[in-house]
This record gives sequence, structure tokens and C-alpha cells, in this order.
Amino acid sequence: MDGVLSRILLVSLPALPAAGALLVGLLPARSTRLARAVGWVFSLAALSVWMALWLGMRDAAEPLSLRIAWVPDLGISFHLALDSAGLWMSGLVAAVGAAAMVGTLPELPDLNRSHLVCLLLAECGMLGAVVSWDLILFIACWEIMLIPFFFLMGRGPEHRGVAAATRFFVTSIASSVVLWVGVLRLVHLAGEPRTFDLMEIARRLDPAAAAGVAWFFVPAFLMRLAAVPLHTWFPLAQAESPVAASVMLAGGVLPLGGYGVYHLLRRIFGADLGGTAETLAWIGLGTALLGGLVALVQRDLKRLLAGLCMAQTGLSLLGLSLGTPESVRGGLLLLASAGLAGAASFLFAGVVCGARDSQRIADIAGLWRRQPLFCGLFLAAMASLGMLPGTAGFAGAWPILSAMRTDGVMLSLAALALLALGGAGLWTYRRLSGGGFQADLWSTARWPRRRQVVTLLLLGVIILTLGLWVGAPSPASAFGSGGMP
Amino acid sequence: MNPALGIPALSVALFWLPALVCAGLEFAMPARKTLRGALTLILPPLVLGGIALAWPAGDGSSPALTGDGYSRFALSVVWVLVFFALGLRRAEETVRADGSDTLLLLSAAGASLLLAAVDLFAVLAGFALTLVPVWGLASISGTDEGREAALKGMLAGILSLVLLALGTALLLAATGQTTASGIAAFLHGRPPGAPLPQLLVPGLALAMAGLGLFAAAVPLHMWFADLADGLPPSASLWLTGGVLAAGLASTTRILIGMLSPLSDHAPPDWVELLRGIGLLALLVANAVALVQSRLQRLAGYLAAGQTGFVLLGIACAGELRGESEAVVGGILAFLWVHALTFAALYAGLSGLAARSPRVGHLEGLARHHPWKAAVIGLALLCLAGMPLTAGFFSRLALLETMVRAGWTGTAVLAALSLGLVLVMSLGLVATMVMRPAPQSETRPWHPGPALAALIAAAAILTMGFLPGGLLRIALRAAEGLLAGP
Repeated sequence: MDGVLSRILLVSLPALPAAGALLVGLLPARSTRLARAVGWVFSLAALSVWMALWLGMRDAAEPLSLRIAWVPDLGISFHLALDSAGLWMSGLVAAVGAAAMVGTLPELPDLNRSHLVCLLLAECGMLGAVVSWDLILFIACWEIMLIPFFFLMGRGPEHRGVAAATRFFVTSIASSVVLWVGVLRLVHLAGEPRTFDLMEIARRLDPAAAAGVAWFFVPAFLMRLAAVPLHTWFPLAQAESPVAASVMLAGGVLPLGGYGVYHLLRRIFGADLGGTAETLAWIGLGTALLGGLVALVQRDLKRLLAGLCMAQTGLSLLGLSLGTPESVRGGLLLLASAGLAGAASFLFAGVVCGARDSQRIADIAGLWRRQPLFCGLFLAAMASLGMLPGTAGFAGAWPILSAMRTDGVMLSLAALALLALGGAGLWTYRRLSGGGFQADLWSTARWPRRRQVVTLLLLGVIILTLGLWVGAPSPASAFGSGGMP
Repeated sequence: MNPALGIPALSVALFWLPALVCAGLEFAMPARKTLRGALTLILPPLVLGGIALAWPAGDGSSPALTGDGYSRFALSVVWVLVFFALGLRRAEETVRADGSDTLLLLSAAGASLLLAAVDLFAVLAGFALTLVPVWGLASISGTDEGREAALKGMLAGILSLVLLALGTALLLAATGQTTASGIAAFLHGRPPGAPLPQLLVPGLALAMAGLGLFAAAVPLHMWFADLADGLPPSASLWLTGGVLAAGLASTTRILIGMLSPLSDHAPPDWVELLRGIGLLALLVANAVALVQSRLQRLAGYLAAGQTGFVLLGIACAGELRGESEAVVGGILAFLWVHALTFAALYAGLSGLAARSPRVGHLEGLARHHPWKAAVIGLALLCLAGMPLTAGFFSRLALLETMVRAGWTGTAVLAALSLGLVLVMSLGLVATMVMRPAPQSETRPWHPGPALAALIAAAAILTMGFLPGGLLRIALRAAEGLLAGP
């Protein structure tokens, strides 16, 4: 692909949702249909840009990079870059963003415009964080995405999500400020001339002098990953938040936490993640076990799905922390799987729980009789969350398990987590699809909408494609870590 | 220009003449509100022009006053804020003039004297000339709250003056000096371990307490929030933005050169003391702001919290010694952004209520007055140091100096205090956006505050994206201070 064109596309990736948000925000409050059309166009345009980048970068030997001096006095640059891992993650975010935009509606009808603005801003922040290779730019995107999420989470009927939004927000802020200070410490250790450039810092950093700094980054990423012990916000948020927030949280925020571990900790500190790898591996394993076991005993559908998502991201953290090329590859694939399957599951759960006005699994039975297509499509997501063979979840978990073959204890615990996940996933699906359908207890309004079915279908196709054709990036591949932009 | 005569004469011409002109206008055309308002609004830009053209950027000292780059920068902050405050005044004005404009300009003249003062007696005079008109503004506000606030402010102000006067007298007796540089030279001239004059430490403690009381440093901050609440909005803006900025700039000038020799020669460790007070101010004032329901009182506490950042910056300069320019530059940039932020905040709040608006007045504001809500939201996010607002870089610069000084824990706590502000800010934004609007009549936005809001918001955003210019100018101004007369 032409260098200038590819750089324009690179900037457009986060800029398009931002421009869409601005445009939707400036539209008259009553132009609901137009606002929705604009939102869809910009979100799908971002996905199209990602596809163009993917097509152009498939055979590229070097990462795509754009660096412009921003605040030279402080050593801050506008440095955007995409390597294979970034391309992978930005594709996930663009797909989930488009799915949330097309598949969800505002919980309160008069909030259409701000719903769209929040979704677009959240997508912009997430895409920005993925492509930022300057630490200030990364922090900016990392922090800015909090604001739309606060509103997306708190805007349901009776503001049920406000408590969850507040918990998410407070935990995020508390962990992010430590990240800020960690970044400043790194910049100080990298010496003069001052720079916030990720790879420049990685080049200059003396590992001995930087010992301990990686811990400043850990809380922020663990929090977004919903990893133990900073996981409590996630089940609450998923149980109480409106559908759009649930989809974006499961599909975007959780995987981004894992990507943060790869993007900052691995790129700057190397495979041992600045001395945090072993602890993070155990935290990942603990999260996977906790998520799987909690899912086994849950009666609330959304909390159960939250447990499954946590377990997947926990395993992906384990893979990223083990540090071998194959485990990291599995970890990245599992992040994508968790994102796609999580987004699909919460879209499904949002629709059926809304139609039944209940989140209890026992209340949502017999779906196969009433909505066989919708229920059937959900199987792909559920199977992937349960890490069954043939799905993206399994394709991601397998390399991680292989990397642990010399550690019997870890392998046993991971296998136990997988068993719990598979069991919880299949059992839940059976309970949802089987049994009798009590039509009089369900909403009389049309559900699901056609676009929700199509969205679920597309997400299911991607999940199965990834499972059957494993194309996750390897850090040892051409530009996963070798080529530095 | 003969510096010995030039600076006092120039001060009178530049700073007191506008008050005289304004008094003349109020006397000559008491009922011609629009014309008088327009003419009054021209005065601050004229003063700013005078500062740019005539105020010396170096080598302009008299024994008590100095004209250097530092004072020029700080004066520009103060007079820009006067312009904003006068803009807000236009929305409050009744048909007949009541002398408020003149009092505001008189206070600004006092603050200007304070900013040029290098001698503690001149600082004392600056304190008095700044505060007395503010008491007047509170007294003529015509409300019980205003009168009570005036009383509290007067008592605190008199106490501050007495403490500073006593401290200055003791310092004079101990060292024979009343300028910061003179006292620093006295300390530098003493051999290490030599006994200190007995009156030195009590004198310093009293002088610092006086400065701290004026600058609303915790635990001497209560009067400040009360006075901010009791004043009319324009005067409250002047207090929280202008008076505080002048007090902090003056405190920085006095302490910056004195702190290192003090720590070497005169125990206790003054750097540590200032660091403790700074942290306390940040955490306590911002935490107390979280639970306020009256918005001007809340702004008062937030402003008192900003004092903490500046005190931490001064302490950092004492710790870093040879690298003070960057710290002082950071403080100046911080004060500039502080003034803009409060201008935007008050301009947004303008017209919500006749007197100090409450949080309830913000309910549903985003629907009735979306631009007002946007400006208030922007100011609050700027206060919380969110990226892409000017607040981010101004706080980042100070946090970085803390990390450079090795105060990582302090930096974490300071950043956490920003988290407190962010939690409070998003709570208020949620009130504006999520709560239904009351059915009461909505008043249009007066052109004066609307213009102030437009300018302040544009500046906050511009400096958020392109902070390099501000940081460079602030750094040059800091070099002027540290080069000495």
C-alpha cells in the first residue's frame, strides 16, 4: 500500500469515530434517524479503514508508523503505529464498536444522540490507545475512554448502572494515576533528551535501574482486565449496565487491559514484563479459576457471562505472562476471542433479558422453541467462551496450555479452569435453549431486531473462522517485536 | 527608565488608573449600564497592552518592587482574569452602578502590587490592598451570606496581615533584611553549624503562616470557601482565580530562593514541611469539595486544593535546587491554566441563580443550555487534569518534577487527588446530562459571561492540544525570577 495512503488510514482509524461523535453531537436533538445513520456510517467506516489496513499490511515486513513532533519541549510526539498485534487488536475494537453501534439501542428513547456520541467516543478512545506509541498519547486515550463509559453505563432505566459506573470509574482512576506516575518515572529513568516515545524509552532503559517501575503499570491493566483482585467492578457492571455498555466493556475494555500488558509491559520491559511476569501469570490463572468456578454456580445470566469473560481474559493474561512466543500468540488470540464472544454474548443477553425483564437463567428458558435462529447463533459465542474445539477460544487456549507442559501444577489448575468454563458454558446453553417457553411472560414488542440477528451472525462467523483458521500474530513474526516503528 | 522611580510610578499609572477611570465612569453615567459596561471592559486589555509594552522583563528593580519576566507573566494572568470577572459582572449588574467594578479594579491593582513586591513590607501592603476591596464587594452584595462572608474574610485577612507583619518584624530583627533574597544571602553567609539568631525561626514560621492564610493553604483555608460562597459570582471568580493566583505567585517568589538555604541552616526541614502542607491541601480540600452542594463554595474548596499543587511545586524546587527553572515554569503555567479554568467554570455557572447556585441548579442543564453545560464540563475536566485540556499538561509538568525529585509516593497521592476531582466532576456532569430538567423558566445566557466562556474554553482546548507555547513562555518568565534582580 502507498505510504502516504496507509498513514492517512492509520490516522483515520481513531479519528473517524471522533469525527462521527462530533457530527452527531452537532445535529439537532430531534433528528434521531439522521443521527443514527451518521453514527453507523462513521463506525462502519472505521471498520472499513481497518480492513483496508489489514489488506495492505498482510505482507508488509515493517510496521506502519507515523511520527510527528507534538510538544517538542516535553519530548511528546504524535506517534501512531500498527504492528501485527496492534492490527489484530484494532480490528477487534473496530468490529465490536460497529457491533455495539448497529446492534444496540439507547435504553431510554430520548437519549439516542448522546448514546451514539458515547459509543463513538468510546470506540475512538479504545482505537487511539491501541495505535498510540507515545506514552502521553496512550494515557490520553486510556483516560478519555472512561468518560463515555461512565455515561453509557449509567444511562439505563432508573439509572441502575450508576453504582456500577461509579465503581468502575473510581477503580479506573485510582489505578490510572499510578500508571501516570509510572510513566513519568520511566521517562525520568530514560534520561535526556526527554522522550515519551515507547520504543525510544525501551531502547534507552537500563533494566537494573528500571526494576520495580513495571509494578506501577500493573494495577491499571489488571483493573481493565477484570483480573483478581481488581475484578469486582466487572460482574456488577455487566449485571446492571445497559446493553451497549455491556457489549463494549466485554468486547473492548477487557481485551484492551490485556493488550496494555503486551503493548507497554512487554514492549518496554521485555518477556519478563519488568519482573512482574510470574505474579501476573498466577493472577491470570487465579482469575481464570475464579471466573470458571463462579460461572458454574451463577443463576444470573449476565453475571455468569461476566465470569466466563473474566476466565478467558485471565487465561490470556497467563499466556502473555508466560512469555514464550506461542503462549503470547495464544494470549492475543484469546483476548480477541474473549472480546468477540463477550460482545456477542452480552448482545444476546441484553436482548433476551430485556424482552423477559429478568436476568435469571431459570426465567429465560425455551428460547429454542421461540427464536431458534437467534438461539442457534448464540451457540457460537457460548462455545467460544467455553473454549470448545473449533472456536477462537480453544485456538487461543491450546498454545497457552502447550507452553505450560513443563509445569504440572499450573497445567492442572488451567485444565481445571477450562473444565469449569466448558461445563458452565454448555450447561447454561442447555438451560436457556431447552425447557418450555412461557410466551405470556415475554415482551410483546418485536425482539430480536433484524440487525441484532445479523450482528450476532457476523460475530459468530468471525469466532468460528478464527477457531478454524488460526491467524493470530506471533511476537516472533516479521514485525510482532522484531521491527520497531 | 530609572528603575528606582520607574516601577512605582509605572505601577500607579498602569494599575490604579483603571480603577480611577472606572470610578469616574460610575460617577458620570451611573444609569447607562451598557455603555459603562463596554467602556469598563476595555480597561483590562489596555492594562495588558501596557504590561506588554512598558513593564520591564528584567533589570527593572526598585528596593521594594521589581519588574521582571516573572511579574510580567503573573500580571498578565491577573489582568486576564479581571477581564473575565468584569465580563461576568455585566450579567449581575442592576440598573445603577454600585461601585463593584471600581472595587474589583482596586483589588486587581493591589494584586498587581503584590506580584511586583520583593520586600515583605511591600507584600504586606499588597495583601491589604488586594483584600480590602474584596471585603467591600462582599459587604455591598446585600445578602446575609455576603455580609457574613465579608466578616469571616476580614477576620482571616487581618489575621494574615498580622502574622505576616509580625513575621517580617522578627525577620528584620534577626537578619536585618526584609527581602527574600536578602534573607537567603544572610543564611548563605553563615558557616554551617553556626548558631542562628533566635528570632529567625519564629519569624519565618509567622511569615509563612501569613502567606499560607492568604493563599488558603490547608488547614487555614476555611475562610476562603466561605468568602467565595458569599460573594457575587464575578467577585467570587476574582477571589478564586485572581486573588489566589496572585497570592500563590507572590508566595512562590518569596519562598523559592529562600527554601534551600533555610533547609540547610534553619531546622526544621522546611522543604518537608511545605511538602506535607501541599499534600494535605490537595487531599483535604479536594475531598471536602466532593460533598459540597453550593457551587461557589465547591469552587472555593477546589481553588484551595490547587494551592496544594503550587506548594508541592515550591517544595520540589527546594529539593531539586539547581533545576528550579522547570519547576517555577510549571507553577506559572499552572497558575495561568488555573485562572482560565475558573473563568470558564464561573462563566458557565453565570445566570443559574441570583446568588451562589446549588448542585440542583445543574439538573438537566445539558438540555436547556447545552453550551453552558459543555463549558462547565470542560472546566471541571480541566481541573481534574484530563488529557486534551490545558489542565493535563500543567499538572503533568508539576507531577514530573515530583518524580524527578524522587517523590514518587507524593506524586501518586497528588495524582490521586486529581482522581477525587474527576469523581466530583463527573458527578456534576452526570447531573447536567442525566437528570431531568426542572420545569422552571430558563434564562438566556448574558453576552458578557458567554463571551468570557467562549474565550476561556477556546484557550483551555488550544493549550490542551498545543501547550508548547505556554510552557516556553512560562519557562522564560521563571528564568527571569531565578536570575534575580
